[in-house]
Amino acid sequence: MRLSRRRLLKGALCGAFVGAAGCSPGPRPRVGALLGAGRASLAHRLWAPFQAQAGVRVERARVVIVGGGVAGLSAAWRLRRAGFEGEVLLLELDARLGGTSQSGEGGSGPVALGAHYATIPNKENIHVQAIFADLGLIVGADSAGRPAYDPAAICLAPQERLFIGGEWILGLWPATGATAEDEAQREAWEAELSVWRSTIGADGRPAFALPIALSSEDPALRALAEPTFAAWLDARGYTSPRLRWMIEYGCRDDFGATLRSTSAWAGLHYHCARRPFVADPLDMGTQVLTWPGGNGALVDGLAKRCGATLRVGALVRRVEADTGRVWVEAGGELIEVQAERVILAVPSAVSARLLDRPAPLALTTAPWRVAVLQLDGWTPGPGVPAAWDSVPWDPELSAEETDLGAIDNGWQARRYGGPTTLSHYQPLCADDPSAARQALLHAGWEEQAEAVLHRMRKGWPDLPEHLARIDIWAWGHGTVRPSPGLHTDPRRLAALGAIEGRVHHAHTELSGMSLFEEASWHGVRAAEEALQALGAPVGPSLLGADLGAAWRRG
Amino acid sequence: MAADPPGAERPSRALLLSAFVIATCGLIYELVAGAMASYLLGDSVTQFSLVIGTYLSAMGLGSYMSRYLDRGLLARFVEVELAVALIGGLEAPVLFGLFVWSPAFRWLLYLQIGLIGALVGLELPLLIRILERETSLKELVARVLFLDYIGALAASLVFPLVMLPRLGLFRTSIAFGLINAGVALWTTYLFQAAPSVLRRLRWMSAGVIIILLSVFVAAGPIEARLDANLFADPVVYRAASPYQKIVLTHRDGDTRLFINGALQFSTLDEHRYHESLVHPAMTAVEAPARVLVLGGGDGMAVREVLRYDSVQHVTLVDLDPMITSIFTDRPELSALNRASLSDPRVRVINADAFTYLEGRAAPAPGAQSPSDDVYDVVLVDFPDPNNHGLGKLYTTTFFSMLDRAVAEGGVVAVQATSPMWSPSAFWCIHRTMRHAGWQTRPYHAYVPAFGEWGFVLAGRSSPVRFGPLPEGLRFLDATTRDLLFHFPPDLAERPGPINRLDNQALVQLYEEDWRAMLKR
Repeated sequence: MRLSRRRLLKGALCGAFVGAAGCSPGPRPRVGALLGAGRASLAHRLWAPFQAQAGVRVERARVVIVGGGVAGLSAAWRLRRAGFEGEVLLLELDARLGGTSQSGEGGSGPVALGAHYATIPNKENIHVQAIFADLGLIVGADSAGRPAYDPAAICLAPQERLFIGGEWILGLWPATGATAEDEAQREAWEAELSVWRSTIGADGRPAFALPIALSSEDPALRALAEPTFAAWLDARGYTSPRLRWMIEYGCRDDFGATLRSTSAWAGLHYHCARRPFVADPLDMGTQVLTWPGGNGALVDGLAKRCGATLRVGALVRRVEADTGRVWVEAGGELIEVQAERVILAVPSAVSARLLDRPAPLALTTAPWRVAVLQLDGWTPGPGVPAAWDSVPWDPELSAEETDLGAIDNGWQARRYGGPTTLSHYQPLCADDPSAARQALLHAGWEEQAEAVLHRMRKGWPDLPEHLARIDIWAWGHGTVRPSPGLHTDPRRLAALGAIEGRVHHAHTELSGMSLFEEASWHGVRAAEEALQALGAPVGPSLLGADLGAAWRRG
Repeated sequence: MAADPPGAERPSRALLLSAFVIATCGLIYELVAGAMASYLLGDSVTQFSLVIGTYLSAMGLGSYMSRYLDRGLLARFVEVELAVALIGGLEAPVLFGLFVWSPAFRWLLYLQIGLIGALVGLELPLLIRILERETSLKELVARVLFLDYIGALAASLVFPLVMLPRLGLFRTSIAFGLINAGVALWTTYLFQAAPSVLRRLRWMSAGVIIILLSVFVAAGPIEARLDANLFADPVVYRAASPYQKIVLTHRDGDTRLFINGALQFSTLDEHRYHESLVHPAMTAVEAPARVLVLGGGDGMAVREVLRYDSVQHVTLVDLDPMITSIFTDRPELSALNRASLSDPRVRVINADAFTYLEGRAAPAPGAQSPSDDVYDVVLVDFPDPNNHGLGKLYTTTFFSMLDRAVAEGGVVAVQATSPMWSPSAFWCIHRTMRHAGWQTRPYHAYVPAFGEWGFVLAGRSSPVRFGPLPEGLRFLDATTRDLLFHFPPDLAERPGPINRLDNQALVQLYEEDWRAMLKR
């Protein structure tokens, strides 16, 4: 009613005469590149034969952290927090810190290349609250003592919009064209979730918690980790394709997995583990914290406050668990670093290689393709004009083919339009991801850019005329999948993280989920273990309710 | 060629009938173009006059051009007919499209009218020459021209009385395009020609009819949405800045400003609005000296502020330089705000108010002392929160930032939508200001152009005592001012959420309120 007339006319006409001349002045030539090219081949140098050599230059450090993602940086941060004064050396293979949480450079500021949000932590999630407080994200508290978060980091509304039936609608529920049965099943599902959210296991712990180490180990609850989520939903009568699409969206978003390749326990965990502890919760629109450029902001904050010597472009080739000797190639030179403790904050397949032993447990990881699209402006499509996260609904595509849509990296700048940079996410969700991974890592830029633009053609009809540049970033192992059986017995996963000689393990994979909360928890845990082993003061544990020990019980 | 069939009269009668149809359609296209031009460009007398002139002269040109057509007259006639059907039939949708996409709309409009005129101009001479083979010129001219002018009468009656109200502009123009195309198709059955020619002409006719029919089906829903957006009064000024579309209309001493189609003021009663926005706040502070106006680039609020001799400086922050510059430089507009924006005490800053307040977090490099940069009165006059970009200007974050701009003992007045038409939105703004720590006093005034309109007066302590009002006000006196703060039961406060950047609850409430209001 009070829209701009010209804009309204344009929307109406475009909608009526799709493809008519005049809807777009024509696409521009495509510009862009494959980002981080050569990363995969560098990482795969790990698999080249290696012989430990004597006589190379020797450095010393009290603690060496291998891996500069969230786990490694959180470990360094925890050491600093304990007042640890010895030399801490952090070695990162990539040119940038952050691992799958890193940011890249866009046209108008940082852009997300991977993880791009964190949820407001639960009350019992004390290590994340400690990190957020240290990073200045907690700016006060209400009268009940609940923390207030930096408004600049709380995701602006509207958070999500869905492209369905030719227009954008608010939220993720495919409401347009839903039947009464769809709506009824959705209501039943929401009601069931609220029960699970407050379910307590026989051991007195919540059925689902973040970090997951705080979750109940009650076998009756853990039995949920055996069936696939798909089978469990079938058995509960959740047959609505729309409801299943929405539930599967969560699996694809967090795990790069389908309902078939996710366990019911992990699938429920996504929906039931978050009980944000926050000031004025009723007035909160969203429980998501995000930053321009995604979780790269958290990475930068941790890097600034961790007090370690940070060395990027450093390829660790071998770690000797008993002696703490670490061989690393950096600047074309092989160096031997002698450490009292080593924290391996790398995926379990890599740590197995570094330690020259088989991995105790094989994990499945999902490849992801992230496209960064620089736009010199945009015309809102029909419906809700903009949101942080724009998700397509295309029931004709299988879960393996469909994408997650795009987030707006400039969203927190409150521009609600104008030039910005989008990050488009596509997890490759095939049951056996190896073929998709090979295809992803070998596909050219042209082919990938076309694939992304093809996906986005409906929701962003005039994208080609506003697109200044499109870059492609491929993650060979973007997220770990919580496959059926993985969480049945927590000790099986914990075995991956057993202390070996001088080596501690820290990686989000040890939780079977790729989340900031998990990666940082393992970093903090490994650092506390290392401090104990060094006889250094640990201070109050941040692991929550003596659960570090509980996790270690295996 | 086969001999003429027994009823040789039949085809010529039929063609004469088509002269009638052609004339009707031709005038309809002219009327559609005139109506479109005056809707979209305003100033209907000029637009109709220019459209008719262009159209008639183009018809003349078309008639003259007919001398260059010699062979296969019947096929040429059908082709011209089909071209008229397509271009004329799609005239209204195409003109709307051009208006939306092309800055050169005016010239493209005349070009299109010229094209249709020329094609229509071709039709009659061709027709006369075709029929000339069978009928005497005297008889022919009389009949054809008679039907032509009668057809024009039919069109001028049918267009405004039947077609426009029933079908709307789009469908009227398409419907006559269909009639034109029908005549073309019919003509191919009246005459004999090589089968290949006839087949070609029939396929072409079928193609044009299919195109027109499909646009006809799509046009209904579009036009329903467009109608609501046309202005009632003649448009006297129109401009588009990167931020908004500005339209001024004028009729009988009533000048109205529209931004993005939404009414901002009517000169008949804007004094009620601006006096109510400004004076309660200005009189709640003793001798206000420093005033900040956020939004209100039309300078009307500043005009009211400058009534106080105590005022030393006024800072006006408005997003759009086009608004502030036309209300500074155009005499007929600066007359409305009594040249307030040219007053030496007034400084105009073109910035997003949110960014402006954020920037104040760090003291400006030029500020002599911190107190230099705070205000006794802040007047907040933004458009209604109908999108997220405006919704952010009514959030807890915004009202908290506002606190840093207000001097000790200073007050704020905020335009807060209508407590009558959008009560949820009005009370949401009030609640949000309270949540941000302000002591508030909501009030409202009757502004005929808007209806019952609402404001929130706020301070660090509740503003309850008022000083004397300035001379020369037309609406407010001390008694009326006191009455503004009384809310009758049908305007009573209602509960709801507060508006935050992360929920933008207000935009939704405002939308729901208006939807509910329109349903009434």
